[in-house]
Amino acid sequence: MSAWIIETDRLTKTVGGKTLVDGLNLTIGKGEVYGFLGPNGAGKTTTIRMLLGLIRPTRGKVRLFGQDLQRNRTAVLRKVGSLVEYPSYYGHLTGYENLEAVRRLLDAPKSRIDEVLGVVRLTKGAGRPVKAYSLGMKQRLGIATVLLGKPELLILDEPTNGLDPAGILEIRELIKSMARDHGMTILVSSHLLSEVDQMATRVGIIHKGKMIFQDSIQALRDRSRGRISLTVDRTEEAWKALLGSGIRAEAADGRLLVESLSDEKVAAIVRLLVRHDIAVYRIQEEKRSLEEHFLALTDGGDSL
Amino acid sequence: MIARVMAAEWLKIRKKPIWFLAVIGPAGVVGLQAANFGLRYDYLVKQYEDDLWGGLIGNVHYLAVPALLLGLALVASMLASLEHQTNAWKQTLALPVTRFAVFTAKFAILLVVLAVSCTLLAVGTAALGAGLGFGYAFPAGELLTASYLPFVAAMPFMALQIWMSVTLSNQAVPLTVGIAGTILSLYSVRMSDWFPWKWPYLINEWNDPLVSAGAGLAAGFLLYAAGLVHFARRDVK
Repeated sequence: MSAWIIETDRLTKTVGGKTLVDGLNLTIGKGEVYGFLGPNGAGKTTTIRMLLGLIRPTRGKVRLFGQDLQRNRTAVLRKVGSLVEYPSYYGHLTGYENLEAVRRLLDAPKSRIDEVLGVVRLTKGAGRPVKAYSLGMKQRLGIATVLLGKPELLILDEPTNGLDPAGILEIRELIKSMARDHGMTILVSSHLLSEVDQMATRVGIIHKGKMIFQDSIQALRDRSRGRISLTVDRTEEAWKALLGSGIRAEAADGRLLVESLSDEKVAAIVRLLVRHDIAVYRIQEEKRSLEEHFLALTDGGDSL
Repeated sequence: MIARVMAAEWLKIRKKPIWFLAVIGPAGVVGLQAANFGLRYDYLVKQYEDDLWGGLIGNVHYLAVPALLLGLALVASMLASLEHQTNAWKQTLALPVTRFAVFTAKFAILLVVLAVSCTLLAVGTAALGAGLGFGYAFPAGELLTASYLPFVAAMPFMALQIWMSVTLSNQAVPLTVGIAGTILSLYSVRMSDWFPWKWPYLINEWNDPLVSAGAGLAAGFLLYAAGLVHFARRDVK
């Protein structure tokens, strides 16, 4: 019995000989906000569709709340709220009626509709037909729909896609408060690291259908720590001198690159170089942003 | 669970012209026969001298079959379009409802809407006969047979149209099939008895309308089951 809320075992989906998702092991613990990252076309949506039972895996298994999805689909999905890509709605109905249609399916109490409208601050527009809504309002209605059944797990696929900055901020705050105030476990996918960076506690990066990184956001930050760049007059000698005292450096176009070190270590390096009579022109810290690191992981995000 | 899904479906078809179609279909058939009998009253009354009611019911029935076939294709497409328009299948099918319930609810709504149309047709026919002065002693059995058994015999088309409309996002395909079938049905009386488009006319060599209706019911159930299995297994875009 595992404690994972979502657990996939070598999840694979092949369509027409093309492997969209390849042996994915995705794990999400209770109360986590999991940022599911990857460039467009990496297999995020395909994975999410499999998590919701919308498409069948070619191989592998999905377990939600420790239960096999295929065997206990309806029981498990009762605890899940999902928003896949663009919001789904019935344009000819009002916002309220849209919620009522889903409420009837879920058999939730009527009072729940007003509650969720309040949460996404859509009470005022609830009486208007949804086809007249802005994209931001539609997305908020989508989130209200997700919350109707009081889910324990939210699966949100690109929830901020196509929204303006104010809309993005609003949805992000909403997601954070869901995790903080209601203890929900949340999976949110995005092709933008910056977006997930601000709400996720854990990240998974998928590229060409494969999971290439899965750990805490802190671990990702650690991996993308900066380097120290030293510009010196005789690179070769300097490199040897550093190696002589056990410091591995990387020589590149007249510069030496060393992994980010403590202040004392940097001072020791400078002293060493000076003692070897090597002129030090510049010492710079090269910060690699999380974004650059993410791009490097995903081959420069070739499809971004 | 089907009741819950159907409750949601009833809400969704509000403000859609589905009920309008359900009324306009039988109203159109009765209206055309009113014109037919009104314009050729003396000729037709002489022709059906022995059985005025039978003549009227027969005429209504022949016109009602193509209307039924066309109407069921249109309503099936409208029901499926509720989800296709904004690709709401992914939302509905990710909810804790079975695909069996979703598919069956669509089919059941189509049956209910068409059953209402058939009832209106029966009432309209009786009213027309009374209005034409055929008396009030209409042959109930004959009227109900001609109003409801074509509906039962048309089950395979309902199942097929729901199946196609729900699984194909391009509604041009099911609508074309439905319209082609409607036209085909106009010529089907001359075909052999196994031809499904002939069944709603309730004509067969045994002279028993129940044979046509029974064949429709059986084929309808098979097509419904096949559609259900396909719908339950397919990937949702």
